[in-house]
Amino acid sequence: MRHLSIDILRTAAIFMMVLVHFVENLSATYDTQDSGGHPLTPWWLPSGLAAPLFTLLTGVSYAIWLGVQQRRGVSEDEVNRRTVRRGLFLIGLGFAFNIFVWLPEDTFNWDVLTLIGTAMLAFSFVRHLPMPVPLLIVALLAAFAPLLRATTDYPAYWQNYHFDYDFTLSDVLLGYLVVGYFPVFPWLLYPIVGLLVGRGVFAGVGSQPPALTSRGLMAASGVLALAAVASSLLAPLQTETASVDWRPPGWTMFPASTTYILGTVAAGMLLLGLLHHLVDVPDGSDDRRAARLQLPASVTAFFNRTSRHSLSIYLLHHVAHLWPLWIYGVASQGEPTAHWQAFMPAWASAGLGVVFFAACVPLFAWLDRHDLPTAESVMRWVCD
Amino acid sequence: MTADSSPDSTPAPGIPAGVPATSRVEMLPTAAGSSHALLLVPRTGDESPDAAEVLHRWVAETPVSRPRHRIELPILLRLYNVDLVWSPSRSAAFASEERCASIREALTDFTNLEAELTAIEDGITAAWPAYEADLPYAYGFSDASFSVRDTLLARYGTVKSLQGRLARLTKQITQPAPQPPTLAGQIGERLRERLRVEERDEAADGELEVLSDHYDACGQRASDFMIARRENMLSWTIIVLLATETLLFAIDLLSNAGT
Amino acid sequence: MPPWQIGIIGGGPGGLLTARMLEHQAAVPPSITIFEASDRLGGKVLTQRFETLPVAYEVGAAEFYDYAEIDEDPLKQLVEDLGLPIQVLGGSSLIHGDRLVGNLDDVRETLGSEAAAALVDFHHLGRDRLSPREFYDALPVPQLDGPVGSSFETLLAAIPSPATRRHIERFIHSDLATEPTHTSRRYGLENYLMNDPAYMQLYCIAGGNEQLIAAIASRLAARIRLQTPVLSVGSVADGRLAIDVAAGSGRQQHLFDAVVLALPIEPLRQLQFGGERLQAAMQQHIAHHDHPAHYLRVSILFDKAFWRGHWDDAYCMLEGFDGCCLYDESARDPAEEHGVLGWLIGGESAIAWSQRSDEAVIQTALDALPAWLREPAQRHRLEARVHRWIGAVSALPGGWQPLPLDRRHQPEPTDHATLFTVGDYLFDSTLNGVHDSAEYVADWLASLMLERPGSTV
Repeated sequence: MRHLSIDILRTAAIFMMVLVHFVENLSATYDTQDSGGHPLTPWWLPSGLAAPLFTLLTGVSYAIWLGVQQRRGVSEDEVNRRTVRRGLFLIGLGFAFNIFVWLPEDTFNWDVLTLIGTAMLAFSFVRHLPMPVPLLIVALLAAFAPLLRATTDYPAYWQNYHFDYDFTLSDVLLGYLVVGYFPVFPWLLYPIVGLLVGRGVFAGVGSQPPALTSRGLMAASGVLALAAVASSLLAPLQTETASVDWRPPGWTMFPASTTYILGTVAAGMLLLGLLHHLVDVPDGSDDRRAARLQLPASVTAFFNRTSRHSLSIYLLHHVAHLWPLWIYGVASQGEPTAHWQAFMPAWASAGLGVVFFAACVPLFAWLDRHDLPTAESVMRWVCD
Repeated sequence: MTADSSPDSTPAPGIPAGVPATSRVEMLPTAAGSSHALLLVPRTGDESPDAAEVLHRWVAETPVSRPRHRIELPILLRLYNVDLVWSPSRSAAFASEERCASIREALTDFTNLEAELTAIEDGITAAWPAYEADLPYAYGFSDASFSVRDTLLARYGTVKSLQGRLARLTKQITQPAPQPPTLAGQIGERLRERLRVEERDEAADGELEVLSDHYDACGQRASDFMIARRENMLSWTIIVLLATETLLFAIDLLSNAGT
Repeated sequence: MPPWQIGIIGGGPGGLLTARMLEHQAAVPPSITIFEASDRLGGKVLTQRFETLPVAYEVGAAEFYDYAEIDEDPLKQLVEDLGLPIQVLGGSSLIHGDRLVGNLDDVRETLGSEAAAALVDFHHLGRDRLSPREFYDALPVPQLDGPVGSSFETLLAAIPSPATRRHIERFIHSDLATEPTHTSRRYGLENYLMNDPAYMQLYCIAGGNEQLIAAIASRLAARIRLQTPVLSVGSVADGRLAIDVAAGSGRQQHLFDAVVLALPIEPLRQLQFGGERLQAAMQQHIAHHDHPAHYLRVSILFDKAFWRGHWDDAYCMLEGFDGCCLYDESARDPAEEHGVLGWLIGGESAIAWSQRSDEAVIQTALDALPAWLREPAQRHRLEARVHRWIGAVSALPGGWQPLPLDRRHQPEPTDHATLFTVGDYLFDSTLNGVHDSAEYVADWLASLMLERPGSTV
């Protein structure tokens, strides 16, 4: 059974991702004096929110998928096999994506796909652990991330405001673990938190009610939000991060600061709890009309479709705006990245992003109608 | 079985027409929440032939049935020199004045006993759907079952409580009637026989044994699970901490190798 | 090796039960021949039907005793094993005049408080002197068994209330089948206490007690020879036992390794025994056990059970015939639509009335009913039968000491070690007693067969 709350949130995450990537890759500029070395992005751009939400929802969806497999009587071994296969598929896809969509020198960027692939591999054993242990893992990931960044000299890898590494084993591994775009420390905590939340809120066993209600989830998010505020107030004591534009002190995505982690997790849980309370069918009912807030069927179908094809949209939107940029760069100045982040005004790139997203809806409807392969169906075919 | 020593506050029903004026209605001391009216009609020798029929009609005015056991109520008992009509909420006796105390004593005991047995049977009937739902927990417990522990504990408590109540009741049911036989003993004996009390007691005992065995097994599984879970958690905590430590060493090494 | 040849004289419950137990218990089932003088098996277990309507009634043994409350009850177990339907018989009342006295409250109202108190005292005295376990195990109770001559009468005489004494006498008279002066204190007390469910309960086989006989006989491998009166029993030179039976105008001899005499006292007395030693032993055996008690049974068929609603027990006691038992015979079969009442008359009354015509006995039986039964009984009566069981059971007189179990069942152990006796008179004149007796002999014979396998015949 699909949950509209998850579809809505995943649609929001992928939309924000498309918008941010279009604007950042086609329009971002830098002003080291005003921004402290960070990319200058328009105030209206929701940067830094999509990836945490997307990875958090990965864990939630996995918990629901796990419940479905168990109800269907799929054996534990088979579930493990499918999980590992999916993880390896996503890691492989991540590498291919880095090489073919970005450039060969970006192979070990450790993008969000490799993070999700790693999360899948982690799920295969984390799901067997008794409840407090995953929480310990989450705490360790969050607590050690700043220390490890200090140990590994994180700023040295981010001199040009993006991850810059050498093709050495140590850089590649450190990139994966600490200093890359989405390293294990601390980004792996999002999918694990998602798994725990998904298990608690959605994967009630048999006739038993779920262990965590949406109100409970919102309450927990409130606690985390307070922790985020506290962390933000302590930001002046932290040396590694600086605030930018409207964001609270200590809020940085690269590196993912403690304030950022607490804030994004809190926001994700709050939104999930709120939407679950409003638009999902209450537990024990199969009737969609039982939801507190009724959305038109066409709107529900839209969220459903974009959510189901979020991986494809993720891949496609990069191809759609980066390949033309690379080709134009090679053609005009012989350098693919010649126009990267300086191609057009932000409002224009944002418009293009919206147009792309709008075009995805009929495109995937057409693909669904003709049963044509998408990234998701290929993954299922390969892994399941 | 417990019975209030004070008379029930429920108002006594009126004396029906067609019985001698010396007749009276008494409220028997019953468990809280129930009431039982006893119509005592002293035998005078010149009562009308349909007096027994009047008593039957009066008792039958309160429609209480025991459909589960296919027992037709009210029950008409013709003992030696006593006519008795009984239903769970009303009874009537046609006897000499000297017998009234014995009759009242016997009916109080039996009515309370039968009401308690019925309450236990109702409790058992209510427990069966939960039993069906809880069957998997008697075989195995997992993280997913964690949240039902309190529910299982409550059901275990309910079943054990019913079992305790039945055990106390069984003592009363199986105790031999006084010898030489007395009227009170015979009334109790006959009513127990007519209401199939012994069979119902045995059946309830059998059912409660099944339920009790089941929840014992659930308790055992839950207890085993909690012990294993605690050990498992401790083991995994150590493993995670060791793994983190190893990872920190590795990152430190890699970091030094890089510089 | 040829199996043991065993001859059983008597096709009553004793003979049949012995044969069944031997076939079940012996390592090598013996070859058994049962000789029965009459044309039917069952002896005192006899169920008949009326001529007017085929409604069954018990002519002989009316009921079985259920000791299951105290301990094992092998006879009840057998009845259940054979798949026979059991019907519990209940009743506790005595009809005084026209009034049913069914409990202590009735006694108090009818006979007075003193009589009720005396009844309670007597009951307590009885329970104190003979516990259910002592009753079940037939354990000796010295102060109860008492000296020679101490009859049940001595116990009754101690009851202070004459009304209570009379009540008790009437209540157990038909069970005793004799007078209190002619039976032991223990036997009298047993017959009183058997009305207490702590000691035992009564049951019958729904549809007729004789079904037990048919069920046992149908499962036997033994040869059954009906209408074959045994004339004499004796030993031959090699220690084997010979049975002479009437064959036409002559006699026919059969040789056996062992012989079981499963006969009541009277037929046993008429049997000839070979050899002085055996004759003397058997005379002694018969003399020791010959304490006849008597029954008279009156059974009347009615077109309906008109007493239902007024009297619903399976039996009650009447004051007539110095106390007799009135059975609702039709209560034994829940499917029976017609009514049958049976009067069990015991003791001296049975002897006295057995001399009278059937019609006189029947009329007296009907007169013994209370007024509220007497009038409808005349109206609904269809057919009546009288059956006489004179000397059919043993009275167990006061002071009489039972023989040790071995001597009871082996009258002459020296030269006739394989000649055994089985009978209810060796215990308490009940079906349960004859079962115990048969079991004792069957066990004994089974062990003998183990010691010396193979027949010498």
